[in-house]
Amino acid sequence: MTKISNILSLPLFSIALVWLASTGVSRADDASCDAVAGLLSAITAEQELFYWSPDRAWKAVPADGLSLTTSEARLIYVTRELFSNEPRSGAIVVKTGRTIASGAIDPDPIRKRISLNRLRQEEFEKCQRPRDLSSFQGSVSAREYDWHHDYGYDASDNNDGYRLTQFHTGYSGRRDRCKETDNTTFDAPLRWDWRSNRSQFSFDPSVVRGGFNSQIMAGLHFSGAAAVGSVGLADQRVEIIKYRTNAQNVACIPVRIKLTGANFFIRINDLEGAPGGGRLIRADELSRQLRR
Amino acid sequence: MTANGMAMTSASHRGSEESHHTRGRPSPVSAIFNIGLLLAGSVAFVLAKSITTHGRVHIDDVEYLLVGLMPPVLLYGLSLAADRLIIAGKDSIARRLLATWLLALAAFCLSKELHVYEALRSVIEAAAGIGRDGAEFAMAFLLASLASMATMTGFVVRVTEKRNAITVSLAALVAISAMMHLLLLPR
Repeated sequence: MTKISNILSLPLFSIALVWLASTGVSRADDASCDAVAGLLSAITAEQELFYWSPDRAWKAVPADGLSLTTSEARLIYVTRELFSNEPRSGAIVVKTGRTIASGAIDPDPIRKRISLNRLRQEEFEKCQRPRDLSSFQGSVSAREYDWHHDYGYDASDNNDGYRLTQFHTGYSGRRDRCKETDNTTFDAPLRWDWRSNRSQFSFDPSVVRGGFNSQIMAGLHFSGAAAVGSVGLADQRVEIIKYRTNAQNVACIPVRIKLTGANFFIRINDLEGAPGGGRLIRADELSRQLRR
Repeated sequence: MTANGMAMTSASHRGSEESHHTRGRPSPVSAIFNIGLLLAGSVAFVLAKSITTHGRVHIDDVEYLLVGLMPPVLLYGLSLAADRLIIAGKDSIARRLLATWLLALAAFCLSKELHVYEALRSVIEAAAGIGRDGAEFAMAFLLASLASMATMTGFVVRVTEKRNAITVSLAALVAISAMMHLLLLPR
């Protein structure tokens, strides 16, 4: 009997390892923080992105972009809590894609697909909505995605709309309050801050910075497609990753991306991130170019 | 009743008939104002429809502009019926009903623009335990009620036939809610 269990244990352990790796349980981890520990003291901003350089060391991705020789990049996104001394939870949105070169064919947003991914993170499931799936992997048309995130329209009553609803999820935010990634509540209208969680998913930087485009103004346009964030972009992929800051008030989230061509970009939005200061204001999008 | 009294009653009856007669022909300024309200209602409908169809409908979609004329025309018809019940000037009732439609649509567009519509609808869905369709109708009724309160309250207070005025207001409220629900939702 013992022999049988010994024989079974190794393959079972291997299967478990493969399963854990594929599901990506707990993406924010202390091992990643240890890897970039030496660099953290030099960073004063609320967020930073590091990459595994060819000379086998972690380095900060320069603000003006990075040239890579490989098609795959290992990155660690670090979010630092500057507003409060208490450890907190949160969620980040990782948007990747590439800018279509001028002259190249840009398909209509209805024909483009945006890949949506959300891995299972059991330790954060207490805030999941009743209808939430524990993980999600799928794709929606760029038009449906942009309508929902650029204009704040309801998800359509079709398969793409249904997938968008399944992709978004509940998460634990500051003071362990349950929040939703597709929430449309404006941050601070009195301060003219019209940003919301849902608008942070947009591929249009102006929507991320200033909030949704106007639905009324879209109706006042004469016939023709309204401007959407996915125009001029390809290979778009969006991932939601939940995290919790550690005792040092940082969370280090490993991200592995495949560069699908030249003019590749990564944009990360921390839904709970805030720069220091007296007011709780949403952190800006971290945007970096990754050239091949 | 004295002969004098008979003469006065007859005169007041003639006066009432005359006023009914003249009320049938609004002044040119009033007619232009009513037409303006009608067109504004049609434009507001197209904007609201654009929002519910995710921008597929545009301001130059003539067929939707024509569909948008239907509710104001129906409300104008209701005002003709109301004119038989309430002596307040047909123009006044028609204008108030058109203004109610316009305000209800404006409230719909604004609540969508400010993203409070979905939050309210979710609250209604959860509190009343009804489906999305029921919650949408409840929202239409809520917005129409707010618009109706703004336009009809003073009217109901002022006229002598209060019961009739309330009946007309409620009929308009139900008609506007139903039209908003049926015409605006994508199907």
